Amino acid sequence: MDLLLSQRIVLEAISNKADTIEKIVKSTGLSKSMINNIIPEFLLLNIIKYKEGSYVLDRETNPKWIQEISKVENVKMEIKEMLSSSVDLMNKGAVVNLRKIYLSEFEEKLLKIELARVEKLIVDLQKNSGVNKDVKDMKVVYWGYSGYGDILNNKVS
Amino acid sequence: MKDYEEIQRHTLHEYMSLFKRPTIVNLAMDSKIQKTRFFRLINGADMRLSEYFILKGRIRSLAKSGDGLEGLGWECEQLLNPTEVYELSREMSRKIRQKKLQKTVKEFSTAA
Repeated sequence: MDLLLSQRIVLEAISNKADTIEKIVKSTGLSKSMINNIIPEFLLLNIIKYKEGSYVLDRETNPKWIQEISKVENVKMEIKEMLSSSVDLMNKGAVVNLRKIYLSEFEEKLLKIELARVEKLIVDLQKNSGVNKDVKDMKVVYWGYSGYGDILNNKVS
Repeated sequence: MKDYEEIQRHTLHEYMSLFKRPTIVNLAMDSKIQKTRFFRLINGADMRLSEYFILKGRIRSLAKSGDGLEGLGWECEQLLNPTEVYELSREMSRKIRQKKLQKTVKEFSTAA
């Protein structure tokens, strides 16, 4: 089961305590009719349930969906779409920087340390990020590096 | 109608539609499939895989669709490995799912 970005954000909103259609609309920024089209499929697949006037994630009936959407290939697909969309948004506000540089062994270690700091900062920020905020207001942050040759080999092999 | 019969019927129809005069003689001459055999195919005889590929090849050539999506798709299937083909088809299917969702929403909004 691979979720579209619009489906994923609805799930994220529900897990972030948006439990009514109105709250999901506000949290995701999607239209009400879009939400009304997404919700029934989730209900059918037992991904969410409607209980006492609220939508909540259904982790009991058939919890396999959690493993399914977290599969590496599905997560990869999400990252690909996010990155692709971010690249499309370049010059429209998205900050996407990419440089090709030579790094000595020492310089690479320095870079790793800096990236580890960034990662720690992100993790700390995640811990402090409050519930009940709108998911559409989250920022998507990406960092990391790869070998140019590895990228090329992966594309041409 | 079974799936393969539908595919066969569609392929023949597609091929014949590319001729101004789709006579058995013309079709057989172009495809190098014997006239009697072509006659049988048109009358519902089961198509061989080799014949299917011949007709598909001729459709591509006649329609000059080598640069189109169908031609590209065919080339991808021939040249790329199964994982790459799977990834491509997955991306396409996701785009279609998203488009269908938007379409349904639009229809829903119009109706409301």
